[in-house]
Amino acid sequence: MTDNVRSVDPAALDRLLDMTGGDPEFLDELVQTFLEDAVVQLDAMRAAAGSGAVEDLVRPAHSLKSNSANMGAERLAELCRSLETDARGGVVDAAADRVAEAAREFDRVRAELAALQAAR
Amino acid sequence: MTDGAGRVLVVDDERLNRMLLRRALEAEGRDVSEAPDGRAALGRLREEPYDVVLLDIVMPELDGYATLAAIKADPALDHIPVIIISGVDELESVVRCIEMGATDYLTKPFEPAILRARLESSLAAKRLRDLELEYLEQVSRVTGAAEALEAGTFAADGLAEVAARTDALGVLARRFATMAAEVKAREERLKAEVRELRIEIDQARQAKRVSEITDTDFFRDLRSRATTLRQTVRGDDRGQAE
Repeated sequence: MTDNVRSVDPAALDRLLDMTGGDPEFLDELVQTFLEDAVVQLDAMRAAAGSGAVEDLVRPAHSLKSNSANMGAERLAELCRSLETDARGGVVDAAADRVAEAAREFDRVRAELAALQAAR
Repeated sequence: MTDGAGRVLVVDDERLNRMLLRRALEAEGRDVSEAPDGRAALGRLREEPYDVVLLDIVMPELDGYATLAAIKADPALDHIPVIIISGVDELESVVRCIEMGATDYLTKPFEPAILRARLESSLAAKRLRDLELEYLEQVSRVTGAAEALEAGTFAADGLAEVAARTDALGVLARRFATMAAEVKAREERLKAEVRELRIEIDQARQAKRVSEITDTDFFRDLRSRATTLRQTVRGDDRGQAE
């Protein structure tokens, strides 16, 4: 992943704003909800990867995939999609490393969302 | 069908999705309720009328597949359109849900224009189904009225709502109500005639009984003696007077 590639597509936020009636305060609420829930989902993914309970990876990875896609965080969504698919199949190679990679991507997403919100 | 632009139940365990869908749907004037899982959704559906359900698949308690199965197995709910909105984008899941009776299957993140179009077509289908159910219910009221007429328990105002329709069923209900009123009036006339006939029969019976007595030799003899007795009495009276 190179630094010049964005982790969040700003067009996705425009789309959310448009879809929900153009209220910037509501968009802030959505972003805040995404960030709060992502922390919980990543914690659950870390716990599942650490304990080797592959089936426990499915739901948090699925939820973070869905929410990331809504926020335009495509790379984070893709990392979670891959984890969810493997977890559904019962075998997740290098689960802890992949969850750690998702957590690092989430940090980038959080920073970019903050910058985009500040620029509005 | 509920009033307005449709009553929608959003079923999703992710609060972000529920917030997003609620705001997007309310911006279109729809009445939106939420449920965080399938079990809660079934509870709400059995308590209040809804026009369409937007259903997630991966949820705790009762997932989307089990919720869809429960809706389609319940005769009171099976007519409500269910649109799946899920992050599960496998073909197998799409096919499974459509086979189970889902109206449509959208993947997250959903495209608002597509959701709007699918929602409108589902609501149109629901409106038609509601009209069909109302029509069938009113047809059964007319057939029920025919049975009530036979049993003598027909009440004309029971068909007022059906008779107010402007279609063929309304014409039938109005014609039926008119005929029922005519039948009732004829029955009343017949009853009055029967009452009069009974009085005449009673009078005839009494006359017959009288004639049975007065037509006997004994009665005739008695009447003859009474006449003679009256004449004798009158003759005595006249002699005493002279």
